[in-house]
Amino acid sequence: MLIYLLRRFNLLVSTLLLLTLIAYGLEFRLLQQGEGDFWHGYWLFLQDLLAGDFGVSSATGLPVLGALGQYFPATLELCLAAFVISLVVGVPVGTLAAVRQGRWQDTLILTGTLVGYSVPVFWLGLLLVMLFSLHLGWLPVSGQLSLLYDITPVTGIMTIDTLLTDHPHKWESFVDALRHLVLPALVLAIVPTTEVIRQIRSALLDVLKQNYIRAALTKGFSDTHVVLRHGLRNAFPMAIPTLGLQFGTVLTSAMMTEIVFDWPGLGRWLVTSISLQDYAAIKGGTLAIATFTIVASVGMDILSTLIYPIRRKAIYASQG
Amino acid sequence: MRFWLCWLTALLLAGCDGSDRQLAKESLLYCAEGAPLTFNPQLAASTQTLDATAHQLYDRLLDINPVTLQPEPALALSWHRSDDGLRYRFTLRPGVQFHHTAGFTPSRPFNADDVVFSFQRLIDGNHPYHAVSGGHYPFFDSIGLSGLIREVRALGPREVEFVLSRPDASFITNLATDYAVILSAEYGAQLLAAGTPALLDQQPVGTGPFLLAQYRIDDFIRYHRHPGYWRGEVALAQLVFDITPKSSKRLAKLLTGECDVMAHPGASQMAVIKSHPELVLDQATGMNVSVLALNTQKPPFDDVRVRKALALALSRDDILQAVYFGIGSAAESVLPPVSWGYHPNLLMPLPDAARARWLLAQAELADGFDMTLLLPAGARSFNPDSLKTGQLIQRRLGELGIRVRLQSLEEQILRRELMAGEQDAVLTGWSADNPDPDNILHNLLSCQAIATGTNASRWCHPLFERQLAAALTAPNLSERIGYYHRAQEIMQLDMPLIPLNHTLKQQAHRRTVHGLQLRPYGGVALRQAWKE
Repeated sequence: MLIYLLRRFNLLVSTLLLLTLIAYGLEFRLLQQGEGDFWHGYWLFLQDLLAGDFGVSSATGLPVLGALGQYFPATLELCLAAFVISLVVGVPVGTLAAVRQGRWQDTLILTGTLVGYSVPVFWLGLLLVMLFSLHLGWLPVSGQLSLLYDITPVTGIMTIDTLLTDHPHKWESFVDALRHLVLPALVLAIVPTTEVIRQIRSALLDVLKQNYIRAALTKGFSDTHVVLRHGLRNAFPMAIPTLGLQFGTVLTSAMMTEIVFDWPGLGRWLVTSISLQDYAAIKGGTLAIATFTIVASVGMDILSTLIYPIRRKAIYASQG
Repeated sequence: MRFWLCWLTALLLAGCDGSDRQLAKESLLYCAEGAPLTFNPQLAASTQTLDATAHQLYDRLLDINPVTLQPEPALALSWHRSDDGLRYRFTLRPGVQFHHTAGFTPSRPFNADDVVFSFQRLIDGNHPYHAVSGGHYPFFDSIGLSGLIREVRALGPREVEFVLSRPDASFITNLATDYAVILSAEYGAQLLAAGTPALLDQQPVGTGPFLLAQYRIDDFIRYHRHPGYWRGEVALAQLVFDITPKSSKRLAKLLTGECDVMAHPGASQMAVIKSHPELVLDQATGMNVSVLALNTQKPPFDDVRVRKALALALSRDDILQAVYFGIGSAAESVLPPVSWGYHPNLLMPLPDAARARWLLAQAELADGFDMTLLLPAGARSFNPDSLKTGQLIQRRLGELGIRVRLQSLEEQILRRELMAGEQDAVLTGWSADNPDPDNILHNLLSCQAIATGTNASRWCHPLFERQLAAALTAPNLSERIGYYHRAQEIMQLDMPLIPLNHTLKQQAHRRTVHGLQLRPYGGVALRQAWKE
């Protein structure tokens, strides 16, 4: 296990180093026009990054690190909500598709996933805003929380901050934060949900072919019992690593979702910084997002191996 | 499970309850089109900055009465002009309190020191605050305030005297503009002692109806009621500027009630706003102009024939219909017809492509040329859609073989470009800050305004300058009008910029909001607003 962890850690560090090298290389070419010693400059750049110095935003005159700290939690909140939705919806639907393999339910679900996967995020977002906000008036158009509520950010995750506050309108603001979260989280959840459905379906189909499932069925257990108790329990760990990779996709879609819904997260901040030609912010934001994606994906990998140690053996076996 | 689902759905769909309604009643959500560049209007000439700061945070010595358009007392109770027109003495209002904020607790009410501090900063290059936050005061620099005011001094705690270097008829109205705000000298001294003078413009302290509670950059500004406001308590406990650059999103928020007031609705949205039972559209005569400014210091625009050819190529009526949906009028001069300095007999030439081609051929540019047209991103009070205007100009000039590249820039970057002065042409304009014609002419066309970037044509004409200067010292109004007429004639002969359109000032709000004032000039004032 230790060797496995070391390998993963090694991968993490080398990818991050490569990333900083690319970031610095671009800066060196574009901003400094290739003057000075590259490697010495890179070393100083790394030192700054390790010390948490991402530079100062030219638009606001404030440290980029502070802005990252301010906007990142909102993006995280959105992504986590979307992830939860994708699991809550995806696992049962994927299971249903596997159990009803080849029948009309399966076909319908597979068609649905294909459509969901192909729908452009911003278009879907606008459609939902038209329907639920403008036409029906059920949910707010944009933002993270109604600006009526003067909530001091603690974690930056509004659904938590509204509960931590001693504001007289604590509960109303919590409900309001949830209402604001619904549409963007639903839109963002579309792509990962289709992925969860497909992964669970294929993993479950593999498991259902196994002998122990047949044995369980011959023992007289009901279909539902066998699928839930034996099938899903064994299929789930197989699906986790691929689901972990989804976090990167979710983060990318989050950028677009944040713009459609004016969600005050990293994505919207990054796009504004680009329009303001704020290089320090662009560099800091890109590095932060890339770092987070890499860390999340390696983290999920390690997590799935901890839950499902056979995977580790599979890796070693394949490496001979 | 079903119970929980029902409960959660009900919770999510539930609107406001009783206590929430009280909170909503005391709060006004104003959807603004852009973020302020600073919290001190002395430092900026952008509408967004004026809207967000000038009347919410600060007061001036004088205000302009919205009906009579005459100056009236504000922080100054009365004023007296000496017979030679060189000395102005102001008696100040007693007992006016500055904001108490997290960083500052005032020890005394407003007095003459604050007036001296606020104006010394602008005119005295050696003042410790003069260079803080960039040292540019676009409006005051362009009207040459530092050359005009020779001295400003306190004659007592409640008396201030301004000594001018020459008589200036627009001096009093300029003191009533949104830019002439009064800052706290005591706060300035405290920040200077702490070594953080720049906070004066970022964490403002004024005497206005609201104080700054929170600013999340490019996102929102939260103001709280100033408890000791001298004009009496404000109805709103909280005022929030929700920064929403897209006008479609502002309208969507207005429709769902996430905004109470919407700044600068697009012309295409008028029908929706008018047909909606819960919305009200306010319109007021706008003292504004949108112009195509050509850089007269750069070839080929240094040639008057080229500038005239461009003016002949454009159709101001097309722009009026396509961009303004007919709301407004085609400009015949930079001054709008409502201005008392407007020249009624001066007309812009009608579109004439053949003559434009001939002029270009005269300038040896028969094959056309390449140019870049800079556009401000987002809506402006004088132009709801710069990109569309730019595209119309691009098409028209294309017919003459002039290849126009459009470049849309954010306010901050555009300002930087204009100060550098390397641009070919820019789509810009001006919203008047007071009823005086000098305000528009000086800011758009004077030599002084080149350095501040508001004269984007970089045109400096001695004869024109002489008219402006003479108008300011003219003994009576009819003579002043004569000078302004001549100034407009000179401008049109040389055509450094092409006046395009004037438009109405517009704002939409929900029917529950009352007490809004849409002034023909300057930023919005929300202190009298209240909600049902």
